Amino acid sequence: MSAALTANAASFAIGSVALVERVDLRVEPGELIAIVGPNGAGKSTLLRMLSGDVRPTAGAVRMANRDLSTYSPRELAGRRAVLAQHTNVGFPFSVEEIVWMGADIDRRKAAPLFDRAIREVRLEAFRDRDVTTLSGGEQQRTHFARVLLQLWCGEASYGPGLLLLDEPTSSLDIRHQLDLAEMARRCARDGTTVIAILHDLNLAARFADRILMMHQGALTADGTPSAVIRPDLLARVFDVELSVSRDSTGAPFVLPQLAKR
Amino acid sequence: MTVMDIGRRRAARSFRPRSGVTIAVLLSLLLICLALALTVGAAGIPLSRLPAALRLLPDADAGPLAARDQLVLWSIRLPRILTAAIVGSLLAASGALMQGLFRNPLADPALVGVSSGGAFAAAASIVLLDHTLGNNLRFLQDHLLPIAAFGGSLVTTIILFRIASRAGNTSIALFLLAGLAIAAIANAGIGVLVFLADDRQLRDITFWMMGSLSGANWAKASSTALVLLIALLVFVKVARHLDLLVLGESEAFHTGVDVERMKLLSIVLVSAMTGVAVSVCGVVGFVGIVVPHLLRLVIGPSHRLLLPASACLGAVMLVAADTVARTIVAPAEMPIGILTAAIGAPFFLAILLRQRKLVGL
Repeated sequence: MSAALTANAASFAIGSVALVERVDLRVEPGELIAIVGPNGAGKSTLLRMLSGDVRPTAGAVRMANRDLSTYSPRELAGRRAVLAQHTNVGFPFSVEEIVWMGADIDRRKAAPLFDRAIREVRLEAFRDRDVTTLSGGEQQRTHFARVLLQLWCGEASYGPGLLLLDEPTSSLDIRHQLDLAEMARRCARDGTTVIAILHDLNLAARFADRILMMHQGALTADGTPSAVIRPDLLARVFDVELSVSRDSTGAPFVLPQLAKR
Repeated sequence: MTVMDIGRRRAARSFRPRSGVTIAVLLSLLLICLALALTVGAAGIPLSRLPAALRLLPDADAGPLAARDQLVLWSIRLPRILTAAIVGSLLAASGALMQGLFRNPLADPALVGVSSGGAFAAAASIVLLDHTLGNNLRFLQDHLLPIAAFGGSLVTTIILFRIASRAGNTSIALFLLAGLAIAAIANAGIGVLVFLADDRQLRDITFWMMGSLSGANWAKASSTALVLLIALLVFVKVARHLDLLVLGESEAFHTGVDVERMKLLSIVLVSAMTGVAVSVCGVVGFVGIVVPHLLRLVIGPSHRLLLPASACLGAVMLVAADTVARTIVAPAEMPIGILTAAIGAPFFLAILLRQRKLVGL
């Protein structure tokens, strides 16, 4: 089976400043991947290369054995969906109208999926609300429903797709953080490849099969949560001393309040 | 539940009419408005004589005044009113399009200098081409004027876009201030041209500065109608994508929009619509802000309905404004730009104060 996504020495530089340097990556279909790293490590830039937003200045990113830059915006939209960290809507669209925007690739296929997407983010009571009056977390869930609808519409035509999330939990309360992580896990079980930037190491460890740790534009670690959430790596990359514990399932967790500087 | 909660829980739309109903209501409003406008003027034509004056009745049934009415109507009033309607459509719809393109409800081609850029180019074509063309080719000037105005508007819109949008984000404050500066530059340029112009050219230029429909004729009505028709056809194509652009440029790309292509299409269209409107009646401000804003309150922000509805209501507004402008100080005529500014500017201030946080103040 071919990889869902591969990056070969993908780099991105602005002028002489390298934001991402020679990242090699092979992502299998149905993998659930978290990208972690300190601010400015190049996580968002890497995600923007993987989503087709920006072309690598060197190297290549391929999706299903075809270079990402050869896809038209429409073809890409049918195969991958992206949830941005923050989406600002300047006009008073309703929640329903925003979610429908995810179905632009194929409106007929979307009709039966629409209610499911709204239910998934628990916004049934908000359908007619003006999205500009919602709280940050409610807006984020609206956009998550839109992205899910786009993903499912695409999958109905082209098979399992790719879901990219850029710090999806930053404005969510703990309940909705877990909801979203659970949703992503279910998507992955159905064959969707999920790649998410996460700031919360514990959520990353609990949520992902595989963690990519970035530091100064390079991929410093790539492996299972237990292999990546290690005191020596955390000390080197984040410059904090953290002790790593294990929960009852053997998954690693850290307690930032016990960190020594 | 606190009072805040109740306020926040207010539905986004308690009542939104269907699109067919909206367009039907607006078109009937336009027809009524057109009929009333036809009856008003220096030579009054009461509604009862209107059918005969419009040659809708056989000559035998027409009254004794039919011949005079027909002359007034067909050679003066009808072309002027139709031009007013078409220019109103162009102004309002180009405002709505520009607001979608810049994701900013305060964008208006007249306010941010796009119209001034067009007017500057039009004035330049009057002053600079006048002598080059010579007397034999002077008739070309009528055709060069809209093209020059289009070119001026296009250059201005592109400059504005370059300045105000960085990496897919448009800063609204930067956009408005840059527009102000561009308008000032264009107006300074017009000032220089006025200084260089001879008497006849001066009269032609002054006509732009004031904004009046008194120069309307059938040729202008038909050429503006052509641009409006093209615009309405392109709307069908870009409206859906403009809705997606509301999410942001990269988000629109993620949902499958070829953002660069649609931006280019919209910029050219806004410039063509503004340029043609300017070439007919000079700089008429605020129609492009007031009309889409009022409509959004009733029919919601979706561009699929907003663009054609703006075209209808813009026509209604400008026909009404022009009727007032040509009768209120009769036998003289008030420049229509003064009238729309007097109504529109306070309205703009009201939007600005209500949506303070949008501008970051």
